[in-house]
Formats: sequence, C-alpha cells, structure tokens
Amino acid sequence: MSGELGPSGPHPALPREPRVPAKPASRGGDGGGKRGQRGQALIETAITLPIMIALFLGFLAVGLAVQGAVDLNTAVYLATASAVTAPANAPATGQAYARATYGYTVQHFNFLADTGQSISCTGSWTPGTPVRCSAQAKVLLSSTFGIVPDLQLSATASATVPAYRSE
Amino acid sequence: MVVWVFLLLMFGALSAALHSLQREVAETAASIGVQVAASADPQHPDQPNLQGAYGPTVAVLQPVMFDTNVQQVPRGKRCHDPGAISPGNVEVCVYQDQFQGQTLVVERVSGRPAYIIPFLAQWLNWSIDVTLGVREVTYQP
Repeated sequence: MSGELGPSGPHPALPREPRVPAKPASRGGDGGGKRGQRGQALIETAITLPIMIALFLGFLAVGLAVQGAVDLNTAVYLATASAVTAPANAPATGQAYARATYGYTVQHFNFLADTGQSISCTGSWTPGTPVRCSAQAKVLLSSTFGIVPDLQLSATASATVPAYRSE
Repeated sequence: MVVWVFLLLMFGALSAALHSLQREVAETAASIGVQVAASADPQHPDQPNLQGAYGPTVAVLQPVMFDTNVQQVPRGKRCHDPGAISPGNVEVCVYQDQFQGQTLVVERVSGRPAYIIPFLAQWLNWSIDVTLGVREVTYQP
C-alpha cells in the first residue's frame, strides 16, 4: 500500500511536492499572456538588434582600417625597396623609382585616397647609407559607413643602399 | 527571431574576419613574390625572374586558402578580374607593366576563395584582388 494516497494527502514517507502559488487570472485569459510574451520579445529584439548591427558594422570598419594600414605599409615598403635600386649618388632617380612603385601600388587599393604623390624619400643614395621613405593616405571609411570619419594614416620604411651599386 | 538574427550577424562577422585574414595574407604573399620576380633571372641577369615568384607566393597563400584552388597563370599573362573567376579559385599572375615611365614587375592575386562558413557567406560574395608593383632590379650580363 505504500505510495498510495490516503484521504488526507500523500503518504508521509513520500517527498512533498513544492507548493506553487496559483496564477492570478488575467483579464483576457490565456490570449493576454501570449500577447504579453510577444510584446516582450519585440521589445528585446528592438533593443538588441541595433546593438548587434552596430557591432557588425564596427567589425567591418575596423577590418577596413586595418586593411588600409597594411596596404599603405606594403606600398611604402616596396617603394623604399625600389628606391635603393637606383644607381649610386642619384637621389632624383631613386625618388622617381619610389614614386612610380608607390603610385602603381596605391592606385589599386580602392579604400585608400592618395594620388600617389605623397611619398617622399630622404637620403644621399651613397652605397651603404640608409634611405628613408614616408607617405600619408586617408582610409575612406565615410563613403562606406556614413557617420564614421575618414582615417588619416602614415607609414615609414627605410632601407640601405647596396654597397655594390655603381653610378 | 533574435537567435536567428544573432546567428546571421555572428556568421557575417566571422566571414568578414576570415576574408580580412585571407586578403592580408594574399598581400603579404604577393609582396614576397613580387620582390623575387623583380630580382634578376639567374640565367639572364638582364631579365626579371618572373617564374621565381610563384613558389614563395603559393607557399604563403595556400595555408589560408581553405579548400581553394590556387592557379598559376603563365608568366607574362594577366589574371582575370575576380568577378570572372568562379568561386573556389584564386589566380596568381606575374607580368611587367609601364607606369610613369618606369618598367615595373607586377604581381596580382585575384579570385574568390571557397566559402567555409555556412549561411551568409554565400551571399556576401567576398573576393580578393591585390596588385603590387615594384621596379625591377637588373644587372648587365
């Protein structure tokens, strides 16, 4: 007979079920509760959706800025490598090499605003001495993301003129 | 609905991050390759070493191009535009070009890597197009 319910409730050896307070009756019955849940879901969506979209666009903007920085660094690095291949003691030729290399590379990067003329190199182009090139460019974030301002970047690279370069 | 929107945005962000990674590696690979190409050919010191660019470029590029076919376009020939390349293929081409009166050696990595992230990535249609030029280094034979 153990486990059977007696007239006064469960058997004393059985654990008691927790008492759940009775739900207050809503005015519209069950339909009102569902409407309330739906409204809560809408409010949660309205709050979280803009945050998630802003986060997503933020990821994209940061990615674009990093891409611009890498592009500019690469362009300046290659321009400097080109500059030191000029004949020894020929700074004008080295500058022309750097400008051509930088301009050609930068023109293929859609998000970098630079005409290719911003690069400048300093050095004597004497064999064994360093040449230093630097450039500035703008990452065009505003054209893609509207309210995000453009980002001004600069990059510098240096290389040594090979000792065996002849004039 | 919130869960679906969250998943879409999360996969979109992951897809964007992966594209960013692949593009930066493509740029690094092209940068390495173009410098090899701009150096003189061992057999012909007055000619650039265009063929030598492919090995270092593919070695750097392939590990991040998941399930993607990296094709070497014959030297001197140009790549197709990314839109004309079918998904899952990336082309590497090395050629010479004129710019501002200078002869430059150019390496281009162009194409559309395979999608490894489900859902959104198939509609985002990411493509890679990196073009780097450097002045050739030649020596008198």
